[in-house]
Amino acid sequence: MEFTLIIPEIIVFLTATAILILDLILQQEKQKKLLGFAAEAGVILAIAQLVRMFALGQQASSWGLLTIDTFGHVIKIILLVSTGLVILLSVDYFKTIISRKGEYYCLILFSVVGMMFMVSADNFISFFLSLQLTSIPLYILSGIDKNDARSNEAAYKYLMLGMLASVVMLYGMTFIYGFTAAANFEGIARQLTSLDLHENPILLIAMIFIFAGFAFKVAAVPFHFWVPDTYEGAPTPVTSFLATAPKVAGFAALIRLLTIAFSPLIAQWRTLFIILSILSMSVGNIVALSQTNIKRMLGFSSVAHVGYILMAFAIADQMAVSAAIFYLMIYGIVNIGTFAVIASVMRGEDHQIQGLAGLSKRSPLMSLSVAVFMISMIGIPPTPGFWGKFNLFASVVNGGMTWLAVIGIINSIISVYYYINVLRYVYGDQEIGNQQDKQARRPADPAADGLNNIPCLMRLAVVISLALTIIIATYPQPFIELAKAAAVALKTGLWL
Amino acid sequence: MQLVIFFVLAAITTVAGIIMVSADNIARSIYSHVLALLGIAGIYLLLYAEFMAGVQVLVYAGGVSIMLLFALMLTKPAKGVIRALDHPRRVPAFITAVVLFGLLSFSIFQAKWPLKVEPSRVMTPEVIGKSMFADYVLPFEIVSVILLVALIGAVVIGVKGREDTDDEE
Repeated sequence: MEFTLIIPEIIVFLTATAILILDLILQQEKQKKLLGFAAEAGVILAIAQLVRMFALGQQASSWGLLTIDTFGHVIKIILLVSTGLVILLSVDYFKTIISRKGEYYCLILFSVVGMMFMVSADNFISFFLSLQLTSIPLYILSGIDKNDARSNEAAYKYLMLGMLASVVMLYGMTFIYGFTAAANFEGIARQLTSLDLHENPILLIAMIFIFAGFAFKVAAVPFHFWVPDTYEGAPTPVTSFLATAPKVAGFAALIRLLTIAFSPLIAQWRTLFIILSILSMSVGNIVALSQTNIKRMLGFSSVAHVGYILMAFAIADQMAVSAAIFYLMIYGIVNIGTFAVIASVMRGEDHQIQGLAGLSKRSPLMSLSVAVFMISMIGIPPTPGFWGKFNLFASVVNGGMTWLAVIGIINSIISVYYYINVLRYVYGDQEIGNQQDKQARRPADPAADGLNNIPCLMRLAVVISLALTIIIATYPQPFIELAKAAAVALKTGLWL
Repeated sequence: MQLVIFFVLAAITTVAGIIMVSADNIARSIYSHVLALLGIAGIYLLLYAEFMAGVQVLVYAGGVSIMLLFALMLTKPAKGVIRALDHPRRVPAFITAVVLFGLLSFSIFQAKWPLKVEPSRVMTPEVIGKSMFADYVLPFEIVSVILLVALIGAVVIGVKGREDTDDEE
């Protein structure tokens, strides 16, 4: 029974369908919370199944244009944990904002099914289709708050640029297919070894086209133009989803594509990724310095983090890839945690960083979380961000590109400014005047100053992210081992 | 002979494509879109892909264009839309397109395409159907989920919900 291999995907898919039907049955608005819990239950069930499959440690097996292996299991667990946190965050956030809650959860889950297939895809056909299944719900989700013009703008920009990126990528794939007459990754690799790139510059162009599509999905410079507007405009839980899950899935698919299909062309694509990486880190960090909107700032900071992760592809040995996977875990949790705090304390506001002024007096838990997450993003020990960056930079130095690691470190130092700037508002006294001004401006808005009534599920999302962060900080070793197991499981010629 | 037919079809497709993106009138755009799609269907026929040609005519030239016309009919275009189509950055866009075209066609001609694939004449609907439901069943199912998602998306975006009437935000 080969379809037992995709039981986690089937669970998530069935949950999504069940939510659609449940949405019709539950008439009262109060009962709609159940939809969120149903989605959460499906995600947890799928995680349990994945953990079981991981523990069984079966051989990698192929079925239906997919490769099911340990690499896939680890990435899917990261994906589902992030999704679970996002759903937890959404239940209360969307209580008032949207009425179509069933569709919201269902779209998130369908998108996750797409991502899970994308992570396992070992064929251009299954890969491209699952990429579409991932993206289309995301376009809709970013515009789900229909009354908010910024949300509409976010969705529109994301849709237009996303479609363009997909088309360019597909065009690149057709050239590769034309040369190799193979759509599955291993077949492509076999054919590419016998080809001479210098006689066929079109191969390089095709590769650039495909990477352009990926770079758009993970938001690397110069394909990041949708990031600030989409991150700012989309409802905060959707932003937290956009900032984590599709990137994890995109990077995982990129790892599989590069290490298997394009392994014969490693010399060429390593150079491309050095360029992409330096551009993303530098542009992301420098532009983030001048942002006053915290969601935009986090958008650019995520571009910078993508730059750090792309360094691993400039080395592309086993150590670098496992460091990238470990970094993705930490990046996912810390980012969702940060957005969870923003969603809890800044409902119905315009998300200016100044809005966080005096948070430490209003909510110690939230301000502690912000502090931990921000320090982790900088990468100061003993936070998980430190372990992530340490592993990543060490692997880059080990791969013989010390200068690239130095650029990464310089960039991390630049990033200190804007992360600490947030904490300056959160813990600082100097902005009290500003805060009073703010309260005077809107005294009657219960969401703005009602920090005491942060819904408990949002609080739970923050606390879980915080707990995971602290666990990784204290015991990083099991997680590093997990990432290593994932990288080892890849069936690549690069490190066998 | 084949080459002549190919160039005729290619010319039709290209001209129709240019009219499609440059027309001031959306209806004219859609009709030239149909023409371009029919030209592509002709090229498929030349490549012995009869099934593809048939699907192209049925789904794209037929279905999708009719949908576009319906969408045009059911929505009332805002005043000044025609102006909006006239983008000020036409010149840079044109230059980019020409450079990209030159680069691509240069490298396509430069390339030593390794395989001379004989047109396979066994691509009957039966063969396609069998492989679609055997080897490619998973992608096929993914496509159906994509369609479901698109449908849900259309409902979310298109249908007026309660939030559209009572101003909450």
